Amino acid sequence: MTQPIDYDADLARRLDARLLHYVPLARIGAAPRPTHHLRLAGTAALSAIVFTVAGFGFEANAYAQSQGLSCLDAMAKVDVFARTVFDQVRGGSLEEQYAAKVRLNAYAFSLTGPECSDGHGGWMPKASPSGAAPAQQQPAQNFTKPTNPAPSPTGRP
Amino acid sequence: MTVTQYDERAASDSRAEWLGACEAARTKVYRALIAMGAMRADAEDALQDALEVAVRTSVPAQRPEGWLFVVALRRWRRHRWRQRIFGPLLPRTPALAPDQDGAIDVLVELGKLPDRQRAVLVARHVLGLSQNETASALGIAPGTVGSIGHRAIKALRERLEE
Repeated sequence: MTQPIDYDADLARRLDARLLHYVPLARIGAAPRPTHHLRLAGTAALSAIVFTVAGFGFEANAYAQSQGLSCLDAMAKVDVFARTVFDQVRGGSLEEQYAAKVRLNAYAFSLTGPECSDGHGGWMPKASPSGAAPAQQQPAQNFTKPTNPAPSPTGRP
Repeated sequence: MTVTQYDERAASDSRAEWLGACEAARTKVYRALIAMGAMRADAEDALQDALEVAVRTSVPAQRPEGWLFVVALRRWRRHRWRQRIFGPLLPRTPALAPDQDGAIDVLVELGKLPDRQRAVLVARHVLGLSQNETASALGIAPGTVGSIGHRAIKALRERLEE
């Protein structure tokens, strides 16, 4: 078989071997867009999940409240929150500790609402109908009043 | 199915086939651009531009390798022309790494050929196009492809055997 004058098989082999390791970067394919029906089904499923979870939450809260446990439950939550907050500000400045207390009060109020208020600006957990003792509130003992700073040698405040 | 619907469907099928063939020809065209002297990044960019044109354009009556090569080559040349203006401001890296064994590098020698000879040689030997396909892709007569190719091979052989 005759080879065309403008083609050299040996040269083609050499070029192939030389170019073998040149490979273009892999293309990143875009994720396929969801179709109209898929989007509709996804939205419906998401809505169903959200409403189910919300409904379950309402039901659980209503049941807990009917059992007189709402404030006790809130106390336990506040207790955990208080431990965390006061661990963070332990040894900090007075301002930091005060800010932590304000945060704690706001959190406790958001959980309990006015029905758990003791009528003196504070808030108290309701006693459980079963007679269970409410959780102890103990953040106050974590507050350490900082000592006055030593006077500076220059006499300036 | 009406005639128009049939035509549309046939056109859509041939378009999908064409785009698939373009995608399959990427590696070959990329290597052809490297053989033409493009740097890796420039070859990538030119190839990507050519693929974008392939998506937008109507299906040409050519092999996708040849068509993509010519479009990408045009893009790369335009880019190279701009580089000549802004080149001094940019860091340059060598386009081709020499062969491992230190022998005469076929790509370096190919780069010393005139542009037209190089294009014909690459179309014939790297892309594997026939004489007629090369002529159609590069817009020259088949006889011209033959003569240019012959001269290019002769010159390259002489350089490689030195």
